[in-house]
Amino acid sequence: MNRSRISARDLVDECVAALVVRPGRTCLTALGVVLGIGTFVSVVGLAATASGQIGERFDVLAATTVLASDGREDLGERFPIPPDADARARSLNGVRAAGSLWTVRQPGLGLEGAPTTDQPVTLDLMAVSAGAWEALQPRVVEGRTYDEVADAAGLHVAVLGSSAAVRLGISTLETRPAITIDDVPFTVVGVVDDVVRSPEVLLAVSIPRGTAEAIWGQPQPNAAATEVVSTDPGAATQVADELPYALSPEAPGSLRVTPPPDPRTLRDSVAGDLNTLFVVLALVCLLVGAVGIANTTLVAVLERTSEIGLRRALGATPHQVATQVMVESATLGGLGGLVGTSVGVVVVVTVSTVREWTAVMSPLLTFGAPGVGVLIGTLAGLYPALRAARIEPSQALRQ
Amino acid sequence: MNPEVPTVELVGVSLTYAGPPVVAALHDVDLRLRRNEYVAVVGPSGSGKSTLLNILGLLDRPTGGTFRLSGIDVSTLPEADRAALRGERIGFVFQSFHLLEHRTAVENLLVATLYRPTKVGRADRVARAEQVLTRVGMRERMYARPAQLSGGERQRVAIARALMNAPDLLLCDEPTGNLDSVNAAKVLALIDEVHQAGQTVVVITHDPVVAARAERRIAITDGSVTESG
Repeated sequence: MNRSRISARDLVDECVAALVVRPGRTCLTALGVVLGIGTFVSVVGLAATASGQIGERFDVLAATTVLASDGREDLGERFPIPPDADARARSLNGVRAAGSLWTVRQPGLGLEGAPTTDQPVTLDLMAVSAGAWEALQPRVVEGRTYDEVADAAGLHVAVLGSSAAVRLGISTLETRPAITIDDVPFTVVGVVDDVVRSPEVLLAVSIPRGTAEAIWGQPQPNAAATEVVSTDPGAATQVADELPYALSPEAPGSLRVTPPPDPRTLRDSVAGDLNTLFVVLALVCLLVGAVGIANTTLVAVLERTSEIGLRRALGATPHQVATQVMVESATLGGLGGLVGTSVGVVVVVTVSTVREWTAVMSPLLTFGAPGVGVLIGTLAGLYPALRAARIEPSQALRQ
Repeated sequence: MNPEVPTVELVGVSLTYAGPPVVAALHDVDLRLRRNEYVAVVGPSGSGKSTLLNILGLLDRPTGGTFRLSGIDVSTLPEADRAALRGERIGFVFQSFHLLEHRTAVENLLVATLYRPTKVGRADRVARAEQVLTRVGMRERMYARPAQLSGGERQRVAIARALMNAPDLLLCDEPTGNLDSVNAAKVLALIDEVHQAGQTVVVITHDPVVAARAERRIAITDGSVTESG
């Protein structure tokens, strides 16, 4: 005997007809899935985009910077940066430039700008070797930095950070301004900006290392002497391993070396933190959406008991009734997933545009998310479909 | 189909609801309906008229006895086969119409064709729906929704839906119960026409006027056929 069957097209037509009858309810029901999928797509997209930015910035600067401090306070050991530290560091493979710097800390150290200020100004005084300027790669606003000749000769020249120049009232070098440090005159030869590798230089007066040692001696224990090393891309980790032995072969452990973090680890860590937090949030939203669909579909089944009875009287099997309910529920989930994915993409693109980032989204995410909506709708429709299939037509038709 | 084969043949049919409480809704009913017969089933409320209609319409399964529909023993058929038979060979007309409110008249008729085992193209189904609506005098209102139709018009659309698949048996449950006398008369006239065109018709009613139009009246009391003639 031939069995009842409904064509796929008729089934879809019936589902669409059922959904458009109550557009308001359909939209509100799908809203839960829209929020869930939208949050999911936004979170994963933004996490991927943000980690991409972290990687991009990291690759430019941090991956080529190694810092070695003059001691490990946690071990109670201090080992000053040796006088020939720059040459030792530059001897390592992969090192492009290296230089040392520290803060000259002398009680009562006074700085005076000339001629516009006559009052002492409190600024840090830093001893910066000529090689350090090459490693720091500052943007020279005016003038120049000093070279190794000035360093070796102990010349009384100074380079000002841009903020320090403002504090000292020096706006131009055309007048060949001078400053006095402890009544010792120094000629300002340059003003620098954008010293990303050592931003404290911006607020300091920098003088050659040789000059500082000649006047104030070796760095004090609290001087935070640092060897700044600029490396070739990809060489930083290797340089960080070798640097303690080059600078202090007799006690390499006394130097505190700061290698660049592994960019993949950093990116994964940031993305992982974001993903874990917000994906949980998105899953909660999806669960709420699924419960919403299940609840609304169940209510619809109860409201349509009479219609279900009629369909059974017209030849529908319990299985066909259940299938129709499931397809309606899956369609709701799919619609929610489609709109939610669109919303998520818009959010990611908008945030990326505002923050001047490059939006990064996996095709798997954008094309797969609507499928997740369909899956959620299908699962949410299981129980209402079961209830619909169990409706007895003779009882339903009495309503 | 062999015209000698009765459309309906019930032998010792019973239906007992397991409960609790256990209710014997029908017991030991014998009934034979010839092709093209017009039968009215009468009886007071709770007598078992609707139970008999549900069994005849394959909506309920008897707990005892044998039921042959057009020669096919449907008592023991699986539900899927009963559903297919129900869709193809039985037409229902209900007191409360059971039209889908958000569909037009023609769309309501098309719903009757959705589950047929034999598939027909949509254009042919629409053509068939137009033909049946014309037959019941509703061709001009084919795009009207139920809310735009009078009670009599709704019942005519419901009759058209029942006739869509050219059933062997037309079951009418209180077809004029929700209609005024004018519309009731029109609907009864339409049922007469359908019968005269060769359709086997069973009308469940407690209205003597409606029952009087049938060729044969069957009285049911307390689940048993008490009078048949």
